[in-house]
Amino acid sequence: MVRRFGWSTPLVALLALVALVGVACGGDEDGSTGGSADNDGRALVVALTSEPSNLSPVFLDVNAGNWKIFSGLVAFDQDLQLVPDLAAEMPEYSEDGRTVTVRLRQDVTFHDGEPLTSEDVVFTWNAILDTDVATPIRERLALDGLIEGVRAVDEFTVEFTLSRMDPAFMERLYTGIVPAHLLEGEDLNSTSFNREPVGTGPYRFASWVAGDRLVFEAYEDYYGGAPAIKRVVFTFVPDENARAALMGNGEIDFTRMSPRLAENFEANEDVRVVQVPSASMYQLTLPNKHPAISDVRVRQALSMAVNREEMAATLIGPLGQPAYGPFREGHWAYDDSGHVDYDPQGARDLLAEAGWTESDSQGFLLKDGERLTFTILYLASNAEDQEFALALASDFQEIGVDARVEVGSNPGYQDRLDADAFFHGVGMPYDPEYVMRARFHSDYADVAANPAGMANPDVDAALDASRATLDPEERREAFIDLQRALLEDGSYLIIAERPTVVLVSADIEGLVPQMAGSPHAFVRGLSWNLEDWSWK
Amino acid sequence: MPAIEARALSVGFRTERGVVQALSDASFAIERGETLVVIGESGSGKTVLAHALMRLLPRNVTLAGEVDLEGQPLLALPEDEMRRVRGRRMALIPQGAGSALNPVRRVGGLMLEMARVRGLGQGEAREALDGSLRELGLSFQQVAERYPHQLSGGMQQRVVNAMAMVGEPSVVIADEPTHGMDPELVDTTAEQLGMIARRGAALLVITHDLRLAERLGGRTALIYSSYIVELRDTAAFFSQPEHPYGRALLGALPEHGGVAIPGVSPELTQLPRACAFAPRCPARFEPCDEAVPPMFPLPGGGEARCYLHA
Amino acid sequence: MIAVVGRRLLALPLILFAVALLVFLLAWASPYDPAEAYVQGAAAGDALTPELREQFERAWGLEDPMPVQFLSWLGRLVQGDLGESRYLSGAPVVDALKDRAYPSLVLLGSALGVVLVGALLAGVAAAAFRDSPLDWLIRTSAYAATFVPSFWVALLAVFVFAVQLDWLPAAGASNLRSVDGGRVEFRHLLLPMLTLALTQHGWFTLYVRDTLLEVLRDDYVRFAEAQGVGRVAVLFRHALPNALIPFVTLIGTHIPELIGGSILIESVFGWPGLGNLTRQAAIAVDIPLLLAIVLVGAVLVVLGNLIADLLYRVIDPRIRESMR
Repeated sequence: MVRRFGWSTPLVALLALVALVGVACGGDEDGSTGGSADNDGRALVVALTSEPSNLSPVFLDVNAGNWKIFSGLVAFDQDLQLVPDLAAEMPEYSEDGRTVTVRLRQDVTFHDGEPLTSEDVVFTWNAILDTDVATPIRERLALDGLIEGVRAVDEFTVEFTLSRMDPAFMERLYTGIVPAHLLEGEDLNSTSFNREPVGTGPYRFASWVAGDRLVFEAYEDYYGGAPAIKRVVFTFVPDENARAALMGNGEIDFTRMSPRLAENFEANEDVRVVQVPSASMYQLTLPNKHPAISDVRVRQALSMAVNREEMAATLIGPLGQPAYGPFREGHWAYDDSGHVDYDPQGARDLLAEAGWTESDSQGFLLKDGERLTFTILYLASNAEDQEFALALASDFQEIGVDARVEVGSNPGYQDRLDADAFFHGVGMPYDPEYVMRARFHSDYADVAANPAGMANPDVDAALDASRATLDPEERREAFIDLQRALLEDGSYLIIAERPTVVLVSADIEGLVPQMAGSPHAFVRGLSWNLEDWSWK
Repeated sequence: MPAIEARALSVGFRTERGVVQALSDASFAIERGETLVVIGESGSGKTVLAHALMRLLPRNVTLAGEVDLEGQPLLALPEDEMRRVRGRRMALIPQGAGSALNPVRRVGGLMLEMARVRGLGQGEAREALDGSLRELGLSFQQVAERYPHQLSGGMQQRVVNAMAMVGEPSVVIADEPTHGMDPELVDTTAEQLGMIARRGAALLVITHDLRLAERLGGRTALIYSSYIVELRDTAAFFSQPEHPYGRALLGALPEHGGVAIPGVSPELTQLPRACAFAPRCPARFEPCDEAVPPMFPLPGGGEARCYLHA
Repeated sequence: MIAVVGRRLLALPLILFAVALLVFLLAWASPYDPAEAYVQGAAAGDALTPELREQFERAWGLEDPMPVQFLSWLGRLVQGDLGESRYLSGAPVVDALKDRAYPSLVLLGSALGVVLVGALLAGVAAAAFRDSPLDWLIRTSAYAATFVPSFWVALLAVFVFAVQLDWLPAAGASNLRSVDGGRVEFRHLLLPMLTLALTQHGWFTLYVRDTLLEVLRDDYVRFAEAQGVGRVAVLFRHALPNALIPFVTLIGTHIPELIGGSILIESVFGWPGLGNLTRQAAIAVDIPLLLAIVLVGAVLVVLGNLIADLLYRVIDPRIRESMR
């Protein structure tokens, strides 16, 4: 009769909640690693920094490493040298360099059991070349209409016809091969294959719960032998602290960490801190259209004013390495002679030579009554970029240059690169033709790829020379010329190597780091030989 | 022993503007079965008197004097004992029965809860409530399942009155029980109040309705600016008030000529250390401005706070 | 009652239409470029050439003028087709939403439950011990919750409870090793749920406190006190039910805030729900996906308000009466 209102219900709910918390915290520990007793069926859990949207190689960047679901005609070995993969032996260029014939292995099957034939290779490459397919990799793989045609000579032989000789073409054959029999007639832009792929690689797709996890299983019939680790789980955790917590709890086995947070794991016996050699470099882009900066002496002076050693040591830590050019030590085209000494006095002298002789009451240099001033833009998405931008501005102010720092909006910052400097990390370890032509050649001075708008004849000449020959030694010479020309020009100031630090469970055997691109490519850099990994 | 007795009861409120003296030096006693009607203008301290007796006052209050309930001092009681006293031995009939009943509770549950507080058992409470309601012309059955807004104003009032009757409290205090009522309802309410007194409770009725006071009989206490200025037999008061304020008040009634009292009441924060009515009093003379007059006994019984009767 | 429901549900398509149009206009006016976002997200360092942009826009049906795009989207929507997600490489939007709905509903629902229970307890405690240190503490925490950024609280929670204390998992909805995806485990739910609740309880707690203090001044509460009803009973049986009536409508109006808060919380905790998907869709400028998420949000808001409104009518006997 008396209506008992409201208050007892929430109270009971709360008590129940408290009880549940107790229960939940008490039990359910079955997921922890708990020693090496039972590593046989153990899944390798990888925390990615973001979720992929598409696993098809038709859309995939080389950084993605084919996800180990696919394999290409060729692969990179530990030293980034090309080795045959689906190809029976390393393909060779024809006499004029315009034909490449690839003989395929005959023992390869897709994960659905169908054999791989030349039809699949032709289908894959025609898909990439098809302008109805919205893939961002077409421009890079088929730069300037490079590929004229792909044709099946017989069941296991494919012939590529090129419009010109391209020494970097062989590397493009890295692209994963998709099964024609599953994709014929499908709209490649929206086919479910993109999220439930079938390939020829060591791992096969198992399941993908969007936003939650992506699961691969070992492909027992892999032509290279069944992988030892039978199950790989990818999860997606953007926040670095959360990833550190997961690693510390033993909930994951493999993830990327900033050098500073990674230091916390140095003493952790269950975790290995591995540095993946990174081809990515911190770089300051100086706008060639800026009236003062268009003077090469000013760019040189700015380069001399940067204390690279100290920045690398203080902003990155013990792993920090200063850098002067776009290649990293260990890359076949690296030139160890390129170097700029930290010399603020020399920088001031050079500026004086360029006409910056007077200074105002605040100590800033003047020419015709105007300051030498510009803004350094950086993007907020990378925390360490801001610190570098501030340190650079401080070094520039040291020599009387009124440099300021501003966070750029993305998109938006691209429109300001005519007048403002831009700081970011950039670089990939693959063939320089593949990655550096668009970055530095004057043909690209008006698109975002070469944001400084640099048009340097020496740079252009070196790049042109590097693609005019198939001889590795001649190409190396050309790239050494490129590095010297870049250092001379000063439009792109390379500041330091951008380290990629990875945390891996100490229970894993078989790790062999391979040079990788940006830190986002960490999975590629370490797990390129995932099929050779095993549990201790 | 009187059912309730107040001696030199004073109530002040500490506010930002200073102390508001809401009740000063009130002394009276009510026997069981007896009625005391407290009349006065709004803001004169009537309601504070009712709340002070039940100790239903906010925290910024200062109390002085004594209140005895059947000989037991109330002001020093701890709060939970006082709560028990409020529940079992005193009852309040609030101003506006409609707003005093919880709008989201069924009337039956509400009444039973109150009856239980009075110390009645479950079945007992139901019976007692039904009994009281029947005396007032209703039954428990009729109202129990309804919500307050589903009852007419008269029924709401009877529900509240019945609640005050249950458990036979020693003291029933009615605060403006006829506020906002139409004349017909005033009549029944007056009757029911009379019945409550006849059942043996000491009845204190706070009202500004002089006609109601006259009807209820018993004794009347007239309040002006926090002071009880006249305390007399109701009939005697209405036939011949002795305090100049009482005379002016009755003179202001339409049937007595409707002469308004000149001037305004003093601010309760700045009461003079003299007769509070003096500035408006036609009979003012020297002692009036010298000190607050005490209650002087009147020849025909009762008291008045006026030097004319010294 | 039926009329009320009918009127609201009839208004729903209009609301959805307006919301969809707004999203379309915002996306159209936004400087964010789907083609550029796609290239940046898919491939590090690739440049978007004009030819490539043209090819993308053709593949995605973006070359039509905006009104045509909107109408064709609307036409498909009427047939129950939400289109394909660009970010999810052409997967049907409906599938993407289905996958993500369950974890989100679990998180939102449980967080709302905690908010309600917590706000009731805290609000009642604050009102009961008005001006005490407890009241001060509760009010301060409630005010803080209304202006402290929720992702900051989330990061702090991860740091303290997952990193430092190692009590709870830092991310995901279920154990990564032992469980297949698509499940929600309580241990994983706790931290995001409590964080979301903590950052959302402010208005609720303050509301309970203030309404209760107001109700405590009402005649029927004072009458109950005068009857000798105990302090606790006065608070819970007389004052609280009245304070709860407007509180119910507050739940309805706060659903949008809850959903908004869940976007950040889900992102920090790597929760496989709609909030996380919203962030991903926004970064990828995936208009079909964003539109669908916003529409789902709008439906939830309308339904939430409707339910609150109906509940309000049910629990307040005065309104219930007038509807019969």
